[in-house]
Amino acid sequence: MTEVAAFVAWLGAAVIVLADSRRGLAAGLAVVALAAAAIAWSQGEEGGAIVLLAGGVLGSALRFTIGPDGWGLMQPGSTPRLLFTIVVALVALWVALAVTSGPSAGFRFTALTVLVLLGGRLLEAAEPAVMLTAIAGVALVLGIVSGDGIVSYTLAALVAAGVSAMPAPATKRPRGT
Amino acid sequence: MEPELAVALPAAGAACATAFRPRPKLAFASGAALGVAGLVAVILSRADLTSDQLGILLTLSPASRAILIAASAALAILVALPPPRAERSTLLRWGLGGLAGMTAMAAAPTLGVVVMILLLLVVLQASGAGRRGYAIRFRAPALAVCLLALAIALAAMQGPALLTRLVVVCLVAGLAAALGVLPYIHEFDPDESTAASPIPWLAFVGPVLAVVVVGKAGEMVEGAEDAFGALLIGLGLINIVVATLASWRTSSDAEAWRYSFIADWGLALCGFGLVVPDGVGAALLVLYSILLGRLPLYLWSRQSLREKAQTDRPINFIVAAALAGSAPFAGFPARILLLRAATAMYWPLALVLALSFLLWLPGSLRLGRTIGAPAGRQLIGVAVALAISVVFGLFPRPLLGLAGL
Repeated sequence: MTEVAAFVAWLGAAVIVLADSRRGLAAGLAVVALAAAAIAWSQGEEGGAIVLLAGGVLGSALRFTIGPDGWGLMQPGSTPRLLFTIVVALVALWVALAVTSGPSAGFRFTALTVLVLLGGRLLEAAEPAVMLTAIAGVALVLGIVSGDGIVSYTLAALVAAGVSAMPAPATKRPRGT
Repeated sequence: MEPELAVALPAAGAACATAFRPRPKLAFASGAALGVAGLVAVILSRADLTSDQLGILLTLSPASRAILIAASAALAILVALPPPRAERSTLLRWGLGGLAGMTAMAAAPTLGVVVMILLLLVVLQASGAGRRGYAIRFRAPALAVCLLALAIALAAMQGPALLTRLVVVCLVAGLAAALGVLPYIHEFDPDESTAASPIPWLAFVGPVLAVVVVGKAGEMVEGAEDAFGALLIGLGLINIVVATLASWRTSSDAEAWRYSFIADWGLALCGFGLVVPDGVGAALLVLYSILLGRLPLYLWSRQSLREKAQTDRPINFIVAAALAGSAPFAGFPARILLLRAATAMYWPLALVLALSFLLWLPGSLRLGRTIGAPAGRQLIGVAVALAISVVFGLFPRPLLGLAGL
């Protein structure tokens, strides 16, 4: 199960990397939430998995309503991003299978691939909706790696939903110190 | 008293100050009352006492509790003696929001929870109105969240020794990115409001975050403690040299102030890297002096920075001496402790540090002039900051005792 979940997590993170509009971003976040919940479930944290899925889906629903209109998947000029998703997946697969041990390989692949892909997306993006979706995905993965049981899953779910509800502010010139 | 109250009261204060924004007096009164109650809760909370009233184990370490008290005191001074053109209720709203997050980070059981709270603070700070674009304000601290999360993920895996080294690199890089020190200096706009600028990361949230990350890093870097210390010292030295020179030579006075914060962080990183108690004590004294000295002085200098007013009165030289870390101000015992720790660890490092201390002088003389000719509330504020610095400089032992050293 974790192997499938790991592939789904990569798929979700790749969609967030390749999307520029709210529908694509929402779909990516929902897929990452599903995969993170599956990983949590496979570790025997059924309650945590449900909470994580709820938070991710709520965040995804909120993202569906906030941000630039459309899907925005693989817009012109997104070839470097497509290559990035493939290269990161291959390197993470090598690290998870051949270099590291410990928790399941699926868990290791998920953590590495989602964090690196979404971190890269944060560095490259300029649109607030994209950055907030990427950071919400990071929060979901933090929920499964931080190891505090239901507390970390609940906090991750709340953060993912809360971040997705944030409106992007207009840049203006404030007065005062 | 339980740490839950220390988190909840400032958070409630920030919420009240936000909810009552249309009525500034009510916002200030409610925020101030809850903020003072939060400060009392932090002071009365016993260090190292674990509480699980909310189903989550919360513990305030002595060092993080001491820094939280200093941060609360800094906020209280700034709200009581606000800089020109600053609204008290706005200062209180941002300050209490930050303080609630900092207390939650300090009390959190694991680094994972700390990073999630940091993530919330990053999003909340970026959501405010600022002159820099949203992406620019968001990117560097968000990168810090990703790097720290990667460190946690790698620490959960087993593998070759190189893996622990990678954890060390991610932890130190994440901390540097969150603080905004080299090699991840945040973009700075001198005309931006302080709350939306990178200054809160350097001078308000940063000290608590650094104490928490360094405190919790121990078990994650097991077997690579030397590499962790060496990386902190190396990064610290680079920050000291580059930032002191930049503070002296940069064309903008506001930029010079920002670099002076980074230079102080160089000292603190060196102190944390020298794992002996004297080194940690030096780092904590530097953080106290950032919170209760450099931050208020920077905010009170903003008006004269705008007016480009520079004076050479005695007060300017006294401020310069305090900023340079000369005796009898707080920076002096910090430097002495740092030299003692460096001598104990590796004496050539003490030589390099002693030489680098001289680099503070030209930048500090420049910054002292930018205070202008303080008058009224600003003069009282500068006098209070200098008096606190002298007290810390003459009697550092109680402060170190508060931090459990």
